[in-house]
Amino acid sequence: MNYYSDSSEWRYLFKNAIDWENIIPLYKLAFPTSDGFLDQKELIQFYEDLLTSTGKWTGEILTPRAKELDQVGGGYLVDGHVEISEVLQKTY
Amino acid sequence: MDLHGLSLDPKYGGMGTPVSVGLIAFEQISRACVSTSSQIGFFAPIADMIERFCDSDLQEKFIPKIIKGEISGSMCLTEPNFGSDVGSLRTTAERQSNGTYLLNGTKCFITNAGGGLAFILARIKGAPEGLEGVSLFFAEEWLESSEGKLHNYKISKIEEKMGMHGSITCEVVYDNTIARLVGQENQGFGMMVYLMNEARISVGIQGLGLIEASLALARDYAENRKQFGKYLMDLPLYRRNFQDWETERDAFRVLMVDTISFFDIYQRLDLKKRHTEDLSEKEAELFKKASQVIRHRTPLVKYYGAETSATLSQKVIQALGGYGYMNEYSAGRIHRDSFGALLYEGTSQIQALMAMKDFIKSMMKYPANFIQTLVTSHPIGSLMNTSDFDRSLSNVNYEFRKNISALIIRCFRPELSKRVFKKEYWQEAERFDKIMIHAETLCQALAYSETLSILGLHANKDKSRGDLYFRYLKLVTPRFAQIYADWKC
Ligand SMILES: Cc1cc2nc3c(=O)[nH]c(=O)nc-3n(C[C@H](O)[C@H](O)[C@H](O)COP(=O)(O)OP(=O)(O)OC[C@H]3O[C@@H](n4cnc5c(N)ncnc54)[C@H](O)[C@@H]3O)c2cc1C
Repeated sequence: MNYYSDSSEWRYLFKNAIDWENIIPLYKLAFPTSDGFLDQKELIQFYEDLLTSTGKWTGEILTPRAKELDQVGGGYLVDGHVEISEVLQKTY
Repeated sequence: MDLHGLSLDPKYGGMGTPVSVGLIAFEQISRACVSTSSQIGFFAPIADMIERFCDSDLQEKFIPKIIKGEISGSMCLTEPNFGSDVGSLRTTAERQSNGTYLLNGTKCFITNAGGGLAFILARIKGAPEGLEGVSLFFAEEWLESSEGKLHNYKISKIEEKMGMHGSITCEVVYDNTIARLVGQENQGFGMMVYLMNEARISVGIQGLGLIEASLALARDYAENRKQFGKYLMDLPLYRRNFQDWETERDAFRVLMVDTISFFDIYQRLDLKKRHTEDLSEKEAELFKKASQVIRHRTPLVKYYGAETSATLSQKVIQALGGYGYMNEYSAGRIHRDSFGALLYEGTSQIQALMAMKDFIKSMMKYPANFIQTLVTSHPIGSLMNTSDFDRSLSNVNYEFRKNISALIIRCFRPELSKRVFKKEYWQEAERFDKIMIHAETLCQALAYSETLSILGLHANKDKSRGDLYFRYLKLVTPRFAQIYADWKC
């Protein structure tokens, strides 16, 4: 399950409901950028690729971890400080 | 996954993507596990606070560590006796000769207090009572000394909660904790509000994640379980309920994404303004518009996301029948987890009161304009509108204005005189008590009309989006009727 690429709504809204025309110039002053993006289209495609990989990671790795985290908890108290549980630490 | 640095500045090791990208990834995490998203939510936003409000030595010391996942932070407002009423907090701060402060007091229900860093609200001895006397401090959990690491503050308890077990909610004791003042004395609440606003939008996003998680679970179940020889999803009553839930999810997603887009502009330009005070004319205009939208939307999306996720995750337990009640399925956990959002970052009632205050304030500024727009927004004027969406929106807006005006006039009992057009008339404090009891229904009405407006804008640009507009209009029309009935009593 990919929470980005499997959802036509998310793909539509990412392309059409975010004001990229005004947002991108606030981050990138000119194209090509110093990190090698030729134009806005290529940059937005890169952001989409990123969300596709976070969508896959959250759908396939993080979701199955949620039940265990609910059972074990996020951490425990040792001498006035918190030790993070192993299952939460995996996500950090 | 290098999540923490997604939207943080590359000069600290981040990827520098727009905040919109980071917030959509945050939605995906919330859909997977809202406890995890609560914990993750105290990495990048804390780095952002350090970048926005702290000195460069702290930026260089901590932001790269946050990006690597080595350290995180917390925001510490709530005390055992003061939650919503932040202005009454009792944690004290005393200035020392070296310019640092000593903090004393106890905070409770603090998410991720053991992360290593803390932004803490406290009152400097002798400062005024109320929010005007609140200052913001930054403290590290550990101090380096010749004897090794020493506690600068202690975690005295991890709360046992009904849900969100994966998120660590703590009680913290400050006993001569050494802290740095952030910004100016007594200006703390303004800076904390910045972080709280970001957090409130994030809670709206968490709500969306929870709704998506619940409905995906239920859809999968309903498409595979048969009763009376049919899949549940093919039973007319079941299907109708489900369509309503999915309509609300899809419409709320649109509201949320539009808000994220404005928030991105607001946040980016706010940072630029704070660091350089140098916005071009176009940027200043964009900033003004984005700030207005964010101010208006923040309580609405927090309220709407939290309330809807709690309601729909409960419906989903029912939609799975007996299995929904069993721990074998995650419907119960998702519902237990949904209650946190109703409380943290200001309860639903506090959001509703904020939305009402803002609405009345803007109306009070120009009462004559408000009364005049009621006349000019009559649907007769919209007959000239070319699109179905514009005509329908104009009707919705007119009904809203007509009903809210009637409520205001009833609560404020204006005499039939020119005084009603005067600003001072609307500023008489005791008049507000009468209208406050309607804050939640006003907040709901504002959230629905804001959502409809965006759906209408989308549909005007792309006819294929008209279906969602009309589905949502059908869903909220009876709710508006109920709200208007509440305003009459
Ligand atoms: C899981 C979790 C995580 C949290 N994380 C943090 C954190 O990281 N940092 C932090 O500082 N705090 C945190 N909190 C605390 C949270 O912000 C408070 O619980 C919340 O602000 C409410 O305060 P309270 O609990 O004292 O309730 P109270 O303020 O006592 O409110 C009790 C009830 O009265 C209602 N109420 C209060 N005032 C009004 C009013 N004027 N009109 C109408 N109704 C009103 C409230 O809506 C609520 O229903 C967390 C809480 C939870 C549950």
